Order: sequence, then structure tokens, then C-alpha cells
Amino acid sequence: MLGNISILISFGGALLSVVLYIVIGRKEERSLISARIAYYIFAGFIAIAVGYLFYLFLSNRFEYRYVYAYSSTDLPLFFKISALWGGQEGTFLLWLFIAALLGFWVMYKSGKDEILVMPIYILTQFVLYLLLFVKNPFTLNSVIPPDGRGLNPLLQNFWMVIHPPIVFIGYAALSIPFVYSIVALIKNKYDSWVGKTMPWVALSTMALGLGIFLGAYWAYETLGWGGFWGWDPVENSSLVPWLFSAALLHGMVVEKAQGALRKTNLFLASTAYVMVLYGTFLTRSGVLADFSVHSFVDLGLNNYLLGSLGFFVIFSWGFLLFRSRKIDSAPISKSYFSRDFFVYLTLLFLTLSGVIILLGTSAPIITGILGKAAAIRSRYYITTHIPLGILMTVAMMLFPFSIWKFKRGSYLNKRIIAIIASAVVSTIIGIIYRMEFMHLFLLVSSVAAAMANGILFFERLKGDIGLTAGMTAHIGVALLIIGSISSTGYSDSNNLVVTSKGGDYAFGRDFSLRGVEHIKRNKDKINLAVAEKGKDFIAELDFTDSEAGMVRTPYIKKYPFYDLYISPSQLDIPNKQVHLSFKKGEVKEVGNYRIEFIDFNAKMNAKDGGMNSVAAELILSYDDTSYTIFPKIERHSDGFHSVPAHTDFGGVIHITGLQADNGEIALAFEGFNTLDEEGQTTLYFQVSKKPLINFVWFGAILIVVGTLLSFRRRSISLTSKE
Amino acid sequence: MVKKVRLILAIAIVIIFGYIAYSSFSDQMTPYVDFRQARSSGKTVQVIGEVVNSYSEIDTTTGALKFALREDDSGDTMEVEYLGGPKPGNFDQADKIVAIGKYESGVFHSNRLLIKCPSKYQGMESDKDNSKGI
Repeated sequence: MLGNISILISFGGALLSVVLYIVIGRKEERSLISARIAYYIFAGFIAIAVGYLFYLFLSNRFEYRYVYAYSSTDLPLFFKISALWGGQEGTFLLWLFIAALLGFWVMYKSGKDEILVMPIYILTQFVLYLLLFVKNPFTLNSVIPPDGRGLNPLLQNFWMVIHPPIVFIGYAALSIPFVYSIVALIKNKYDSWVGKTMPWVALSTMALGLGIFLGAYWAYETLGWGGFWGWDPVENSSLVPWLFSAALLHGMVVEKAQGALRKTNLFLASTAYVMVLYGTFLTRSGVLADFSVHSFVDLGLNNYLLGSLGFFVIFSWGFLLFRSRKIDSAPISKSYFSRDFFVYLTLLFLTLSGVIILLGTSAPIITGILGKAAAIRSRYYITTHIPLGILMTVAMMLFPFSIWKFKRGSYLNKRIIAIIASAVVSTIIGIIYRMEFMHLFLLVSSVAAAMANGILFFERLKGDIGLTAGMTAHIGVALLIIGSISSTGYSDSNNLVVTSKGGDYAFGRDFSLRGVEHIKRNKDKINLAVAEKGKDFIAELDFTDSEAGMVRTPYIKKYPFYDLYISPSQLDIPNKQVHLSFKKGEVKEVGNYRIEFIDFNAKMNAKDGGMNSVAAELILSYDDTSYTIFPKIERHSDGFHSVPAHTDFGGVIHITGLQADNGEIALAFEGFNTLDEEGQTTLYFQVSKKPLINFVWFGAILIVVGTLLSFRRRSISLTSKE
Repeated sequence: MVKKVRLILAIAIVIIFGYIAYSSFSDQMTPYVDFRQARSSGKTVQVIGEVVNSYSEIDTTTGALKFALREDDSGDTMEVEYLGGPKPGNFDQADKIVAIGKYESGVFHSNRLLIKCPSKYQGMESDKDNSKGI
């Protein structure tokens, strides 16, 4: 109840705030206090709704469908936070919450424009209310289940706790340039919008970039298919807004300095946000259900989503078209070899990349309209992006030259020598590794771009660190491209099989099965011994049997220049259970463990209200450890239930039968490391070498740091002007 | 002048990439077909079906994942060999499997699988049944 009421009150607050801003805006004496208070109500009650949902998760209130679907009593506290946004309804609430929080900042920064900025900002978020009203996390189950279905083990991962909020910060921040572009169009004044918007564009580029990279790293680390980017619609739907956001950031650099590219930027600002909504539509409608690894199910939101998408497109593009004659924009630059020209080229390439990915992701829809729906293979993205990458890196490499001043006749200076040297060295390396021509070209242009930007970075480091923002991000992009080509295009892999009797060999290393531990009810841990020259290590591979499927966790061994990626495919354990019967006082061995059956434990026999239970007292000893455990069998109205005993090493003992008169008991043992006695345990796995994969992560970090520096610089310049 | 050159350059780049995108777009298209069409087309296509007897095995020499798919409507079955990587995580729990690949000499050679799992959202509809017994 509290949840739904909070959402309703917050909606009322939002609506009231919009009305008050508009009404007050028309009056002479402008006290915005009432409108602001209404905004506080909006934000406050959204916070209450989120807090209440979290409370429901903490207190295991499974009568709520959402809690039931994404949590369970044994879910660790930390992951109850991420369960909060484990499903669609929760993500809408989280998104709205983050947008409400960012709104305070928008309010504070908007200055005189608050009367226009705030109501439009709030209205922009209304689409989220639409979604929340149709699908909200406070729906009740008809009965109260005793336990929830649990969170998908793949999502029980640190990166998945922080990834969604960061992406939503990006989405929410990207609505702000949209708002400012509309405000500029309403006021028909375009000279100040860029200054006010740039920090937000930098913030959204930073947050979306960080969110995307975290998601990519998570995929690499947990999914086991060995890659970090699959061109899946879910991934693409946040990549496209990021590319538009980055394009807009470049465009704004030019507009800020020259007053040029004004219409382009206004268009990009509205389009970037439209892309956010379109991505939401793609991933929340059922349209791509058969074309993605993610299960998209039609939430019944299509009409709302399409409606609001249509509204945003027609309204913002139409308004821009209507005003286009009145928008005066300066010409871009006098020279082709100017900074602004290269920035403009980059903007063009980023936009093009966004559009190409957009078309590819929409392929099932486009072909569905024309005839039979068909998806596009990931090769499409790669074939288009290799030449695009070359152009982008060449532009990035040339960009520092537009800043450096060269004296006549001294073109061959140290900088140029360093860049040419780096290109030559990378060409030789590429030829040694027999790279394909286009890959080689892209590698060399990326290395040269990294070098050129690196030189400029160090030259500028002496001054204002804010001025190195662009260089930092550019070096990051170049490294990311180098890492991507080598780790995906030149990855080597071997399929191996090891059994309890024999090992396998690849990449100069011996692989052998050390043991299988049964850690939890549904989790096996495989210890795979890897022997390499003098250095041995154990690769731990997990198999978790969950409702979402068998989750196989890969093991990654990092080296400076490559990763050894060990990904398990299948584990066959014949006769996992060992069945033995014991007489009183008898001792038997299971694996390395000694078991003694003492007696049926009379103390543990309980009679209460028709329920009867029998426990067996066992002494378990191994190594230096020895202790007593009690597997039980209980009689319920519908028959006997075994209550197994769990050992400290993850083994499980069940009572499978007993004869109290003879003092005999039959027991089943699971997870007792009985490899050698029991036939062959077989592990199928794949080992791959991923050269230079670290460049990908290092490049990603530099891109995020670069955009962060840009955010810092743009928000400082904003504050100092006021 | 600069503006003109800039415009021409922009148009040229857009046209070139428009062409690259268009040609690889139609090249990389993988239409959904039924098993009969998959056998005769000889092109890369997508098929969907359920794994016969939920059985799969891994070829120890090639590392290929081998299984058979049964089509919903026709009941037609087809051998599939997947070589695109390790066995996908939720393969054994899959409702339906989408295989992308090419039919050659009696076997559908796939390098990409999409696993369709009984999603949580679909599950929601049947929650009432689940909780009845409790």
C-alpha cells in the first residue's frame, strides 16, 4: 500500500510542481518556493517508494510479486540491493529516483531559466510514470509464498550491483540537454544554452560510458563465452545514446568556441534523448523477442512507449524545424586543418556509428515491415566499424597537429618522428603476427593516434589538467580499439577434456583435474590444476545449478600481455551419490572421510502434533577434524521427508532407509570427493588466449577519466561565469 | 568555400558508409526459416526448435556441441553442431533454442545460439499455479 501511495503522491507533487512553475512564470513577482516545495514532495515520495521497496526486500515480504520474483531468504544483503533493480518494474522506479535526485542539481544550476527548465524536465520524466503505472513493483501475489525464487546467480555480482544505477544516471543526465534545447527553442535564444548544457552532456557521456564498460567487464568475467561485447540489442540500446552523447559533446566544443554547429547540436541533443527512449522501447517491448539472448517479453507497454516516442520525436524535431530559420550559426572555420574541423569530423563519425548501430539493432523491425523479420549478424557491425574506426583514429591523430605550431621548414620535428616511429613499429608487429590488411591499418592508425594524443597530453599536463580531458579520452579510444582487435580477432582457443584419470595439454601448460567440491546444495567447485614452467596454479571453476540455468563461471588468469581464459562447458560426474548401509558402531570410509554410525539419537526424537522425526548420530572424521552430525528423517502428513545433514566441506548426507529393530541405517553421501573410486569424472572446457585484453579495460578507464575531466572543467567554467 | 567542401565531404562519407552499411546489412541478414528451407537454402539462416530428449554431447576432438532440434509445427528434426564456443550457460534449461548457421552435408553447422529460457516475466503469469500448493 505504502509503495503505491508514495508513487501516487509523488506523481501529484510532480504535476503540481509543473503547474506552479507555469503559473508563477507568468506573474511579475516570482517566488518559486511553492513550485520547489511541490518538487520536494515529488522527489521525497519517490525516495520513500524506493526505500519501502528496499525494506520489503530486507524483510522478505514475498507477498509482493516483485520481491518473490527476484529475492529469497538466503540472498545476501548486498545482493538484495541489486535485486531492487533485478526486474523491469524496479528499473523504472530506480530511473525515476535518479532523475528526481539529478533534478535538484538541475534546479540549483538552472539559475534564471528555472521557470522553464524545471517544468519541462519534470514533464520529460512523465514517461517513466506511464511505465510505472502499468507495471509497478508493488503488485501483490494472491497467496504468500514461503520463499522467493531467488536472484539469478549471474546478477549476484558486484558489477551488476553498480552497473544499472550508473547507466540510469547517464540516461537521466541525457534528458537535461534535451530540456535545454527545448528551452532554447522556446526562448528563441541560442547563445547561452551550450554553456549551461555542456556539464550535463559530459556527465551523461561519462556515466553511460562507465556503465557500458562495467557491463562489458561483467560479461567477460562471468558469462564465459570469452568476449566482452556481443552486439546484442540490450547492449546496443545503451551504446547508441552514448555515441550520440559523445557526438554532442564534440559539437558543443565547437559551438562554445565559435558559435558554429548550433542547429546540429540542437538536433543531436533532442535525438540523443530520443535514442534513450527508443532503446527502452526495443528492450521493453516484445519486438526483439526472437533475436536476442535476453528474453524480452511484451510488458503490454508498447503503445505507451511508441506513443511517447512519437510525441518526443515530432515535438522536438518539429519545433527545431519550425525555428530553424531563426537560428543563426557561425561558419565553422576558415581552414580544413583547424581544430574545429577535426572535432566536426569526429562528431560526424560518432553520429554515423550511432546510426549504423541503430539500423542494425532495428533490423528485425525494418525487415519485419518489409516482409519476413530477420536479424543481422554481428559481422555487420564489424565490417562497418573497421573503416569507420580507421577514419576516426586518423582524425584523432591529425587533431593535435591543428594545435601545434610549426615553423616554416622544420616540419620534421621530434613529435612527427615519434609518431612515425610508433606507426612503423606497430606495422612491423602487425606483419609478424600476420594481421589482415584492414586490421593492420586500424592498428597502425590507432597506435599513431595514441602517440600523437599522448605527446599533446604530456605537453598540456604542465598547465591546466582540464585541458587534457580530450587527449585522455582519445588515448583511451585508441587503446580500446587496439585491445579489441587483438583480443577478439587474434584470440587462440583450444577445446580440452580432463578426467580424473588423465589430463590435457595446451599453450605450453598441463591441465589436470584436482578435485570437485560440492560447496552448496546447488553449487560444485572444480579445481583444475594448471602447470606452467615452474609456476603452477589452481583454476577454480564453478557450476551453479539455478532456476535460470546452469551457470558456469570461467576462470581468468591475467598476464601482462594476455589473459588465459578458462571456460568450462560441461561436467560429468558419474554416480555422484555413494550409497552405504551401516550397523550400529560400524565405521566405513567414503572418499577420504571416515564415518561412524553411533546410534539413532533418542534425544533428537520429537513428538509434537503428529509429526515424528528420527535422527542418526554420526561421527565424521578426516584429517585432524572430527565431529558429530545428525541427518534426520521426518514424518509429515504426506509421508517421510529427509532432512539431510551438511558437512563443513559441502558434503551432504541423507538417510535413505532405516531398520530400527536391527539397528541398521542406509545412507547416501554426496560431495565426498569420491573421484578415484567412482569411474571417470570428466570436465570439458575451453582455454583461450586473449592478447592485449588489458588494453580494452585500460582504454575504457581512460575514456571515463577523460569525460570526467571534461565534466569537471565544464562545470567549473559554468560556476565561475555566474 | 570551406562550407561547401565540408558539405561535400560529409555527404561523401555518409554515402560511402551508407553503401557499406547497406551491402553488409543485406549480406549479414539471417532470416528465420523452417527446417525444410534451412536444408535447401545453403545460406546462413536462423532456425528455432526444442532440443530432442534434452540431450546434448560434446565431441572431444572438435569441441563441438552436438544435439538435435525438433520443430514445433512440423515435428521435423535436424542434427545441429555448434562450434561457436563453450556450451551456453542455460542450455540445459532452455525452452527453445535459436541456432544461427548453415546446413551442410546432413548437419546444421551453427556458430551462434540464442537460448530462449522460460523468462521470469512469463513465469509471472503462472505464479498463481506455483503458489497454489503452498
